[in-house]
Amino acid sequence: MIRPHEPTARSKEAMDPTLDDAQRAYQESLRQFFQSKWPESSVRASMEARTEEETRVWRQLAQQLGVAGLTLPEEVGGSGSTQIEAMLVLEEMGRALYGGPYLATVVLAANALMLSGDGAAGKEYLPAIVAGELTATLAFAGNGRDRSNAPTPTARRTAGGWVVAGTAHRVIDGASADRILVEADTDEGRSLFVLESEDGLVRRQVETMDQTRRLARLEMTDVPARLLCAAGEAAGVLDRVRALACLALAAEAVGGAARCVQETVAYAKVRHQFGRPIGSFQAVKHRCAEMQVRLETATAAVRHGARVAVDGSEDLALLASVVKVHAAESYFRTAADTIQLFGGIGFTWEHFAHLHFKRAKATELMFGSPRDHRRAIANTVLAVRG
Amino acid sequence: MREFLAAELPADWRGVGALDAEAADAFAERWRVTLFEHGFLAPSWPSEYGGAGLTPLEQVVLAEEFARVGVPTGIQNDVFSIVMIGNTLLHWGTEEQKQHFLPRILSGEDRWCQGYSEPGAGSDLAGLSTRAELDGDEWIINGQKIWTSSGHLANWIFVLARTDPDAPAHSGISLLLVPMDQPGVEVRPIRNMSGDSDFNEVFFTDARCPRENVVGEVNGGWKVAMTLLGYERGEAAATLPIMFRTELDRLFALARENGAAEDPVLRDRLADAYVGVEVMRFLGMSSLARFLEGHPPGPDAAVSKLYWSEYHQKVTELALDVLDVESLVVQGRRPTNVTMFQTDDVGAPNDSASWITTAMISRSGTIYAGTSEIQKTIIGEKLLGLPK
Repeated sequence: MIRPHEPTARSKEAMDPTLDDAQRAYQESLRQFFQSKWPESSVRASMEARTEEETRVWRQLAQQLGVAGLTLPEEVGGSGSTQIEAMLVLEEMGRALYGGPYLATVVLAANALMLSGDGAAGKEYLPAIVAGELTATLAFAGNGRDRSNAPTPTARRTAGGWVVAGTAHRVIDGASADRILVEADTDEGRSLFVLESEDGLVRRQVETMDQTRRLARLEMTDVPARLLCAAGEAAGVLDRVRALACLALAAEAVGGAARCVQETVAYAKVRHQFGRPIGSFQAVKHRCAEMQVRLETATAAVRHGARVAVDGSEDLALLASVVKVHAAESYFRTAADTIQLFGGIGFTWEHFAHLHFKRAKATELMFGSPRDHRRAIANTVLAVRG
Repeated sequence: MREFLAAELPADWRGVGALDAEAADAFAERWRVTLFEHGFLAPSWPSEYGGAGLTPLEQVVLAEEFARVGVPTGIQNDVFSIVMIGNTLLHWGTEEQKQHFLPRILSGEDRWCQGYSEPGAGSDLAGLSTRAELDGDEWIINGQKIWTSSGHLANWIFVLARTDPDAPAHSGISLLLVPMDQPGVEVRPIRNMSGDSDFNEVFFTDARCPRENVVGEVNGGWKVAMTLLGYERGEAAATLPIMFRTELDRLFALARENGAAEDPVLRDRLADAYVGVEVMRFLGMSSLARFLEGHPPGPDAAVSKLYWSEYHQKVTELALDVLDVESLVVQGRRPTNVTMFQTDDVGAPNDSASWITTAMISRSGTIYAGTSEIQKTIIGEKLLGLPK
């Protein structure tokens, strides 16, 4: 009898030729953590409403596994590891359909705080983030690269300091985050702020297609805010954070797709029709093979993206677009095939497949759709070279 | 490696594709001699057999540099002579076989081709029916092979033949080394859909070879044949992405020149092709890491082969759409196939004949060396453990 979690014939080592032993051990601890602490029942409970469990699990992730401070320096309590370890965290989160504070708090906010070079703000917020005691998010104008007509929030100086006004859409964890960073236009150009008050701020949670992740609309009416970086000089920080966010979603996508392939292949081995396992039929076998090809190529892409985020050897924005397009489209196609290969049961609410299907589509569309990214890629690679 | 290339190539070298067909052929023959003299023709072979004894990493570096500057690693037959049968003899051959055949391969005296597929045995290779029977000190061979690439340029053929007709399909096969310059061997060219004739039918009518010309054990040829197929790809993980990227850059140049790059739909497809070739590079780095750690290519090769062959069809279909009505007319330089028969030669001009021929040739990529369907079955069964 094949158990659902039996690994596929390919060994994990063969999948991860570039990981060292310590990284593999960390990956294993993470996987075990999510298997015991964030099973599918936890995912479903948190889809209904915020749970105490979420907060507890996030603290444990931060305090026991050090995920929040992985890439942060020791001065703020971090462990000074690299984007490679962060990528492993994200892969396991994707596998477990985890929708907790990591993406918004760490990938968006903590990275932006670090990159902003604002030492005082860093000292104030980062140690609490590392400890799992403070959550945060970043509201990109248009949440990435989308074509929404919503104008970018604006900020202006008043006698009492900066205030931000306008609406930010689809802000990840926007209803719950303890601190909100906002991209806003100033007379000097693109700037980055931390909101300093709830006065004038209305947070509205929105209903999401992908219920494993929470989004909110933030309506700001002259909310007092603190400027990070110099006014008009946030473009570099925001672009880098956006690239890291794309790589993060790609890593999550790889984890989610790996789970889909694993479960689908296991099912194809035990589900019998016409007196034989359905996985023995070529129509099924070949669809599984296509899933595996997408998974291996997306894994290779994500691993390379993380290496470049560490060593800076290539144009990160271009690479992040390439990696995100491939990983997100692969995840979506594989999640769709998962529903198909499970048949009727795969279409039910109780089955896990739709959770991946919706999350995969959301992954494709957040921080720039595949079409947006291909447009950006074309603008770079089709430009006449000097 | 760069010093070697700088010293041996003309200062204005732009790749084999910048030469016309005749000059390209002449260059390939001359270049082969240069490689031979430096031991680079079989870089992985031990020096006692005429190789350079390079480590896997050094082989990769050499292959990468060659791919970058657009010079071949040998002539067409060398894929069969060196990569396939030469490597197989190194692994399975007797000392006498190595001493006899390997130097003759490197000197160019023996040029090999492959006698595997038959009209009735393509994907199901073990269903082959060419027979070999012992007659004193010689094997007598009867049957027919097909899709024998470069067979018309070869004087030796390695033949999979049934030597025990009563044994189960995989157990009664032997790998024989057969000279082609004899009355019992006839080669007939087959014209492919691009209009060229690179592959052939080979007929054996009481053809003969010495009894000792068996590689591995008699009736043990299947195992030998399978290791041989593994040699088809090694440092390809490094060179394929370079080759396909060079080709795509040429397509980008064409799209800029003729305005296709301004069309939003084509622009989206061009960007998608860029994603495709980049992903091939990432996959290559991952395969390479495994190769350099000493893992043999194995079933992983199925993923890579499936990926690049499907990619190439997509990108050459795109090329014809970028050319638009220019694709209706065959104009300019055709690929010479000196470098490889996957992309056109490095440095080739952006002529319609180049893209049209390449688009036609690309249809074979998902068929030869295991069709896409066979690759998916290998992935399903060998990597995922799905039942037969």
